[in-house]
Amino acid sequence: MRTSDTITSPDGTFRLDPADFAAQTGWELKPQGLCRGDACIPVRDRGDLVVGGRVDVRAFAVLTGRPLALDEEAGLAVLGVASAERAAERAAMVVEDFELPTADGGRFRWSSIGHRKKLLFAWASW
Amino acid sequence: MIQDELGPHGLTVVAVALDEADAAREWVDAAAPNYPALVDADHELAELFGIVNVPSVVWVDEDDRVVRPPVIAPVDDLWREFTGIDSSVHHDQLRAWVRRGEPPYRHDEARARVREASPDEQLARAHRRLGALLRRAGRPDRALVHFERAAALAPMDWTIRRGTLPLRGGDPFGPEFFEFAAEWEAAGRPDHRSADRDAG
Repeated sequence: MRTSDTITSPDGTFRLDPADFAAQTGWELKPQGLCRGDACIPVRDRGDLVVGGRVDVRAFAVLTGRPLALDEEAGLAVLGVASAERAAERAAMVVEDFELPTADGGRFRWSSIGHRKKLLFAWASW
Repeated sequence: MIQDELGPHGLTVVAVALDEADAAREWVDAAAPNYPALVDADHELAELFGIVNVPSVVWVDEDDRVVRPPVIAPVDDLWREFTGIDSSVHHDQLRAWVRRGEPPYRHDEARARVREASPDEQLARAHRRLGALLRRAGRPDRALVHFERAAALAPMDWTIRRGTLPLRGGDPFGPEFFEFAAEWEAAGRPDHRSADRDAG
C-alpha cells in the first residue's frame, strides 16, 4: 500500500537539506537527479526544485503530482499519494501486505491471516 | 455473529476503526471481539480502497484479490429507517460466497465498482491527515484549518465531514451533523452504495 510522507520543517520554509529530505521521503539527491531506488527525476533544469542546495517540498509535490497539505506555522506537512498512483493501486484490486496497530496496543500483519477469505469491516465511533 | 458462523467455513473478519486509538479502544473493549480489531487513525485503508462512509465492507479472497470493493453494510437494522438498508441481504450474500464460492458479481463487474481517486479526494485526505497529526501534536487551532480545507475539498465524504467532528470538539450526533446529513440528502445521497442494492 502506498502511503503518504509526514514532513517536518521546523523553520516553516519546507526547503530541506537533501539528507533531511531523503530521510523524510526516501528520495535522494544524486548527480542524475532526485532518486528513489531506480526511479530518478532529473533536476538540472529545475531551478525551483533545488534552491540554494536545498530541496523545495512544494516544487517536488507539483513535479510528482502528489497532493501536499502544509502548515507553515506548525512546520508540518503531509505529502500524499498522487491520484494517478492511487487510482492504479485501486484498479489492481489486490491487497498487498500491510501492518496496522490493534485496539489493544499490538500490531497486526495482514498476511498473518493466511489463505482465507477476509471481510474487512470499516467502522467508527462517530 | 458472522465470524462465529462463517469462520469455520474459511472467513476471517477484520475490523478496522477509522478513529483515534483511544476512541476505538473504548468500543472494542466493550465488544471484546474474537477477530482482529485494527485502528486506522490515519485512514490508510480508507484511502487505499476509497472508503467514504461507515460501516463499509470490502471482500478479499484467499489470494488477496478484491472480490467486492467497498459497500455500506450495517451489522444490524438499528438505523434502517434512515439508511434504508436491509442488513440481512449482505449476510446472505456473504454466506453464498463463503459457503458456496458464489461472489455477488463477476470480476469485471467488481472492477467497474472501484472508486476513482481524484486529485481533490487525495488532497482532502492529506489535509484530514495533517489535521489529525496537528491535533495529536497539541495544535487544535491549526488542526481546525486543515479539517475545514478537507471538508471543502470533499464535502460529501462522511469520514471527513462527520469523522472530524469529535476531533474538533463537535458532536457527531449534534446540529453540525444534521446540517451535513441534510446537504448530503439534498445532493441525492452521493456514494451511498449499499450491499443490499449493489449486486445483480
